[in-house]
Amino acid sequence: MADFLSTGVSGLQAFQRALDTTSHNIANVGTEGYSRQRTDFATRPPQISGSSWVGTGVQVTAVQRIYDDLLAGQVRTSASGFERADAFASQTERVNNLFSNTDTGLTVTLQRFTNALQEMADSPASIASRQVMLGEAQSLTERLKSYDSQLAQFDRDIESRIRSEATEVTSLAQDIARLNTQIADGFARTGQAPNDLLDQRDMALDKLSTHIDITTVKQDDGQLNVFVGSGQPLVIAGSSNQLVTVSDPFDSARHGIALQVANGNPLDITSSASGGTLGGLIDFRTQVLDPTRNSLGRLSVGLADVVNQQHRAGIDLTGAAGTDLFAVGGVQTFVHEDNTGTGSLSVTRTNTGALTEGDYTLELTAAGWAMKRSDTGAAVTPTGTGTALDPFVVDGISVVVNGTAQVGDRFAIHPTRGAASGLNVLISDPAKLAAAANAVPSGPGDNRNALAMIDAIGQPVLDGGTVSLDSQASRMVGNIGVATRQAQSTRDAQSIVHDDSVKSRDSVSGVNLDEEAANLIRYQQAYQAAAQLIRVASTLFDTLLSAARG
Amino acid sequence: MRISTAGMHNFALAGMSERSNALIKTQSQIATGKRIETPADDPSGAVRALELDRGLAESQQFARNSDIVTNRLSLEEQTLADATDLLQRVRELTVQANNATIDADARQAIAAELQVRFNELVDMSNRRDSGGEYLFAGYSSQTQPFVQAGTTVTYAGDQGVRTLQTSQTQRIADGHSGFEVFENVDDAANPGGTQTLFVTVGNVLSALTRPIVTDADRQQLATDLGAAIGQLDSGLDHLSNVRAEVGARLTTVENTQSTREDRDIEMQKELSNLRDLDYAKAITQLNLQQMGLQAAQASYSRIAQLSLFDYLR
Repeated sequence: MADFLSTGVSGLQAFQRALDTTSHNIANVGTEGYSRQRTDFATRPPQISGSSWVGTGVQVTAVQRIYDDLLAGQVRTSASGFERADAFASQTERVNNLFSNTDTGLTVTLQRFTNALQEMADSPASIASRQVMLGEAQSLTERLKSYDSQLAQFDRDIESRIRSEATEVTSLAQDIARLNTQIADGFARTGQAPNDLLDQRDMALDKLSTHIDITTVKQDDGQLNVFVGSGQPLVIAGSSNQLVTVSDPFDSARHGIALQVANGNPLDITSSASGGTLGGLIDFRTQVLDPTRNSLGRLSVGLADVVNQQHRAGIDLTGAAGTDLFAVGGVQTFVHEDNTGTGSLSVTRTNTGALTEGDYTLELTAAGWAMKRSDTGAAVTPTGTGTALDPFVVDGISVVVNGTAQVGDRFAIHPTRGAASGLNVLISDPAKLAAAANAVPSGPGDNRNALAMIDAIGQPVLDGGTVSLDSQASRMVGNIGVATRQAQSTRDAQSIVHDDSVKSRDSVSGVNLDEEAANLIRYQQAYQAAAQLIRVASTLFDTLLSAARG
Repeated sequence: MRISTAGMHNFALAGMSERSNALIKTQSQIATGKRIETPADDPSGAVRALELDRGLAESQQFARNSDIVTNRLSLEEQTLADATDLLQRVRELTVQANNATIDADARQAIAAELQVRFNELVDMSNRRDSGGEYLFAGYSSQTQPFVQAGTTVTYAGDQGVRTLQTSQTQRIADGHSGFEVFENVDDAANPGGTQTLFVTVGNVLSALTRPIVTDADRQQLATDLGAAIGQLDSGLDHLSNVRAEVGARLTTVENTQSTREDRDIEMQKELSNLRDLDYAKAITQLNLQQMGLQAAQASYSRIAQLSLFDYLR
């Protein structure tokens, strides 16, 4: 009889617990990252009564979190992929918008410059028409420079974004390490992991994966290790490492990301960090920003080269030979910070038609100098030996190695990156414009050299004499358009993948209020039934007592 | 499949936000009137539009250049017409003077008018355009080309001829050098040689200002004037040839201009097809998208109200 009562009480307790869990689920329906919980019941050990086993009620074996590691992992992978694509696409869109204004676009500005040359050719003796031409030359350089400086601004924006992203990753890593410790404690105390802490850690992991691609390894005590890049440890059990920014070994003004492990040098993971916002920003920088600036630079070099060459061939109003009209920024060279030798580079552009839009690295290996494209990694083979008398010549540049380099020393060359920012109009006196040909007869009314400049600008000069300045300008805009479109469709595709994986995870772990309402009814009824048991037990007991009293 | 309550709300919201994004994009296209707002909207179309923009800007410049050529050639044509009239008058005077019955006073009167005409011819050869440049100086357009000392006129210009670009493939000379117009005239008396218009008119003048005393003098005058008429005819022929050349150039410019105008219209049409929005289509699309969004909102607000808790009393 006492067993009967305790069976009833066990039911009351179990359903009380189940109602607790249901109300916890309902209360957390709006909590981000919450996984629904379920109360697991089992029968209590039966008792022997005479020759048969009699059941003794119910017990709660666990309050489980409904969670699927595989699905959660997929959500993280897809979040990394989506955030990378999203950061990449939104940055590319900024560049795209920069080139969207057709009234002030490059091709139109270039044409206005040509038109001003035409005006000068119409009235070469007129100072006014020469002034117009100088004004348009100024506008053209300003336009190219302003594109370049806005792209440089994007670069600085990315620098500061990378810095704040790294700080955020570090703080999430600290959260995860702290939660690891608390989870291990809880696990040690009860043999069961504290569900809500697991949820918190999972949410931190979800957040972390939006910043950078991560891999995780679960430990037996419920702790979780997190790795970034190509397997560098971000969180190991209760301790975490810092993600920091480090300056690029070639260019101290530019930063990448590195993992600061205890008692050691930061491990540079810039090139191996693939996903998340950080991966997207870094990819944008190398795949869109740098190439676009190089492209602008090459256009500037082409413009300056073509116009200067023809301008020098003419004579100005005073009868003097023409001088350079445009100045353009030089080749950028960089020395790797780990170089042990004293070597440095002097690089000049020697052939505009052969220039590419790539950057290069030059390394002294045990087998001699090796040069390759930084963007594609493809080896290039220059002629020459790198001395002042016999420089390395390849892809329109000429490279002289000064000083003494040691084996392992590396150098970087950006042939066109800095060209646009250094653009300037060198002539301010309109009389100094060489509209006349350096030939007899000649005079202020001679416009032959102005016409020759117009011809030269229309000639295909880039890419080995196959692409004109003007088609290079429109091609650049087209390339940005294509890149943006691709980035947008990648983002859309990643967004669908991510939504799907979230849907799959939520279908397992998310709270459904209808379901909870049904559970509420179910457990309430069961609780009421168990309470009835107590009442029946009490009645039976009273009956027995009154019988004994006689 | 199970669906979580939060998930149901999130996906409904995501669907609605996607629809309103599309709606906003269409709205922005309608507001700007442009189908291509950024290169990414249609990269190859955007590139083509840039080329067309450039082509139109270039064409505008060619139109301006053509106007300038036309103005300058018209100015030259006017001068040539004046010079032709002048030579014709000189020829009339020469014919009048070449008459045995004419007396010394009449000859003197003719000589006086010829002197005026001579100076006038020099003035014509030194005419300037609205920009102050000499028309007939070649490239030395700021130096007075013809310098007069008595009846001797020397050319200080050069033989340069400026061309202006009137289309991508066409450059047209905007005039002739003074040498070409006034000096390079066939010598009627000496085939293969040349004699300037100033010498021709100057010769008539000096023949008429010579004193006529003897019969030999009279004879010489008749010979000189006869020769001068031949030279004047050659001069008139020459001017008419130059005028024909100017006329041909003007026609060429005009033809190019009408070709260009046709091409401009073609380019504008293509540009408009490429870049401008088809409003009817866009507004239809806007309506469809609006309906879609309204339907999504309506269905969401209905479904979101369903809950089993409503039945728990």
